[in-house]
Amino acid sequence: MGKEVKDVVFRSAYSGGRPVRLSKETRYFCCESLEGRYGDEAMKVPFLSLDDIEGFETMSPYAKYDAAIRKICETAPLRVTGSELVCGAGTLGGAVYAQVPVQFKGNWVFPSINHLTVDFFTPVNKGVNYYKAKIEKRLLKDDLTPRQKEFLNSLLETIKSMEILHGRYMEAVKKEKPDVYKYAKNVPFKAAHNFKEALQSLWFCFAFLRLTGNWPGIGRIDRLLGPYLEKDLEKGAVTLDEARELLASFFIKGCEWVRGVDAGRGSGDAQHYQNIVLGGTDREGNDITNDVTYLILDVVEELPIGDFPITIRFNEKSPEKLYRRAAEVIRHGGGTVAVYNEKTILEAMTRFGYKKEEASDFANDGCWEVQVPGATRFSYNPFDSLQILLNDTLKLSSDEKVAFKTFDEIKEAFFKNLEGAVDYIANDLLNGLLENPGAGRKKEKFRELFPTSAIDLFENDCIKNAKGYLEGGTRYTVIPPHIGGGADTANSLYAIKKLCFEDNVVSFDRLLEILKNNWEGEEYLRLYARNRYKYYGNDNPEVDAISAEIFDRFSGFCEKYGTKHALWIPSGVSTFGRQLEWKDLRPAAPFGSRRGDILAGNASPTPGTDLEGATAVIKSYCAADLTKQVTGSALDIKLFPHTVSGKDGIDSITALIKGFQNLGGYFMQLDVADVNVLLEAQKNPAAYKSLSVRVSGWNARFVSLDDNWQRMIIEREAGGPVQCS
Amino acid sequence: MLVTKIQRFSTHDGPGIRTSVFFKGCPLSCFWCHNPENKTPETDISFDFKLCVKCGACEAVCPNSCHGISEAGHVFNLKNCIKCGNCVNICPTGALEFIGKEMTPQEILKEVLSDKAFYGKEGGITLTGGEPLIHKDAIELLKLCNSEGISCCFETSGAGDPEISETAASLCDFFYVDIKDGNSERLFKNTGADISKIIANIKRMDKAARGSFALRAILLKGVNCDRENFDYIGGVFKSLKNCIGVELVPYHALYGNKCIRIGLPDTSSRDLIPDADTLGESENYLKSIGVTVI
Repeated sequence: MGKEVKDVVFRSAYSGGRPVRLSKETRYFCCESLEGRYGDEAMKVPFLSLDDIEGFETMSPYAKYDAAIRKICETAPLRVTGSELVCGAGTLGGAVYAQVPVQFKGNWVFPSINHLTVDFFTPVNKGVNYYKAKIEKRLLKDDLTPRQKEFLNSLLETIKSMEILHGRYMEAVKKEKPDVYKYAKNVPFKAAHNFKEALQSLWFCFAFLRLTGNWPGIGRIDRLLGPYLEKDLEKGAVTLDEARELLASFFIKGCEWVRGVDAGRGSGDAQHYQNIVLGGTDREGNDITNDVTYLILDVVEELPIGDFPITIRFNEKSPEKLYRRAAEVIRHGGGTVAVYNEKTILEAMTRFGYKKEEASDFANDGCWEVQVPGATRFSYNPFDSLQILLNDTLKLSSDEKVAFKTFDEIKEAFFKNLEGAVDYIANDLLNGLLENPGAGRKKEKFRELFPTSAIDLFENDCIKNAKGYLEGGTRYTVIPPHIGGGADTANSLYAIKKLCFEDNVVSFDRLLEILKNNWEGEEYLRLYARNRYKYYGNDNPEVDAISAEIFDRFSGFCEKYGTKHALWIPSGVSTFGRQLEWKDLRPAAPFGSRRGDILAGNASPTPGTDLEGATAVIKSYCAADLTKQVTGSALDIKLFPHTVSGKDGIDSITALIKGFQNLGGYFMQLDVADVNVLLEAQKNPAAYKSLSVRVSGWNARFVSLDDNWQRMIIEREAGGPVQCS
Repeated sequence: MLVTKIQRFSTHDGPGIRTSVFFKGCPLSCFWCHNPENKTPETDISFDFKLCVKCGACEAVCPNSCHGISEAGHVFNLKNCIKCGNCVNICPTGALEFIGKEMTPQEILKEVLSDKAFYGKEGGITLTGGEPLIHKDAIELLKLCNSEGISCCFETSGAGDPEISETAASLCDFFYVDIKDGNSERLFKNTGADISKIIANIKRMDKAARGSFALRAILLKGVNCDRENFDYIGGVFKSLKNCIGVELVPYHALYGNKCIRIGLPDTSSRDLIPDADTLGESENYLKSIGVTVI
């Protein structure tokens, strides 16, 4: 190496520090990437201009799209770095705005696609040329409309553009990186024959999709690459150490959109839904955990990369070693590894209507919502159940009086409002997306939207149906309403029950007045409500029964729609940080919160109300039948570094995961964070550039979060408001 | 039995995830006691000034005017307190709370069963305190846990009732016994313990043990970090059959607030915290004389 490569030390919440297995060069490459070198570089050319394309304005949407993709592949900057072992890059920074990174006369032209995991198995195992043949064959059938023909030709154009991009890269690496050239030259167009080709093929497809603006998840990478590695190890064609370096390169290159600390802040910069799923069973029910699984855990144990959030599918056959390795990674903090309980998820999916073998393939949408990769168009519709209770049922934001005599009357009125909200969302979706809603699942047609050919290529059935991702081309179109604020709503109802109907601390009418006044002058009562009762997250069966009923009834309201239409409407639980947007819209709540407080995230407890530790939180969460939440219900668990230190700590994390499985949990993210470190990072961001935290389905570098997001994370980890000096 | 706390998700009180049950009352009176709220054998009322919002609700309901609230703060005069609990029941923040609740073994078991899903083969219940092995009912609790398939563990000062200690050892998969000082006079002066009784108790537990156990040696700088103590510990360790090693527990000074909350003088002192060198030397010396340090 010509230039000097510095030794680097990566931060950890674990006092023992992170292990060192990778080469000095790879570690340095990681450091550069995490410090934002490539992200800042990508922002220098955020998009390409299409102004020079003659007659662009009068082109059909597909012609415009094809021209845009070609322009990108012909002229986007290339990036080949000294240490990289896989080739290709998403060099146009405008992609982070969820747009195809092209502009015409100063305007974006096409939004891009995210919240999905495409099918990377087909291009890697069979090669992109397999698609070409399939499309050409499909074009021969005489059932196509002119638009469908245009669609299929657009897919062929997309492949051509991809070939152009590939050609430019091969030209660039041929002389300088002959080793890489050797395993990069034939893929992804031809089937991969060995581990290096398979990894390169996967990376190139992924990088192509990102270069064209999309944010796909990766999905089950160990299931895809494990068999290639196994064969190569047998033949002696590659060693485990080499394979680890290659995978590390893949992970480091995946941080190419990470910006420097001066880049401005928001909801975090590492949230491009590039999630990875490890472990789990195959269609025959055998656990597929293999060397690739463990090598990836090695990589994220050593390098603090949170950009590929990992979720491990745990099941009854998961090897003991997998638990231990997961625990060893988790204790470093950063929230990189989360947990799926396969049993609950498979039951949820098959009961809802997915075929068993397809369900077993599940990955996520790049966050944690479960879907069949490469076969699902996914989106979700979030709403706030707490606002429904406080505003619609209790009318706290109006002068209208309510007249409820019993607690059950209040609860039932709330459920009626909740059902109304679900109906509204569902009908809005059906009418908005379908031309003929109500014609029946087989006959309903999706409205035309805009081209998404780069994605469509990697989605099963788009070729067969000759339709794009957004227009019913995929096997499934799934858009669940997601309930947020569930814990806050349960706590509110429970507080009303106790304060007004059982302990008679305050009359119901008076409580409503007090809440309308945001607890003004009623601090004693507010503190009493807040501190004297055990709310959701403390394994208190009384309040947990209320939360379970809320989630159950909600999923029942969604079941009315279920799989009856071409658009599937299951239920799910999430907030994804929307508790921030909602904080000023929510009046004061009966359990002692004030307007403007940051309340519960996902299916987690209201911050500061869970006092009994992680096991009690899991029990409260599992009190609901989570097989009814088809797309998922996420639980965030915070652990303090000292709780999980030493061998005891590894045993405890393992036992926590197993308990989560025993109790029927769905998805859990474990974050180990020291509040003091977060406070320090707030004051001195430059010294904490790589400090990663789990936000929701994604990780973010803490310093890239704005003040409100940082406050939310700190309060969550501290279990309540913290005085920041 | 008087229980001060049932703490779920304890990760360092024995193998796996455990529920630690803290019993109230202890025959010893170590001046460095880290859990001073567990010393006395009766229910106390604790007052945490940090949580107090000076709302005055306690002042209004106290029959003996124990609570005085002024601009300067909230003074809780324990002298006239009859522990009626009026103040505890009305306090909106939990600043005032009872320390110690009478519970039957069945009631404790019910709480312990809450986390059964997390115990697996390793985790379970840990009896601690205070001194858990002065309570006859502790045995019944351990038997109940055994019959539910819950692994049992305890932490004892070694000054528990000999018979209870012996039976407990036979019902538990693992336990910790303190060995606070090998200098008998110093030990008596600092804790009130009789070393010969403690050692006899340890040997009895060793004989009866169903599983294994560890000795726990607290290290206080300037008090017991000397060879006399370590040689003694070494001798005891070598005489035992089922002891897997000695765990060194450095003194910490974090219990000061707990003293204040229950009206005791704050006896914590940072001067007693052993520095890294002392810890390292202690560990090395113990190892050099053949002790397994864990």
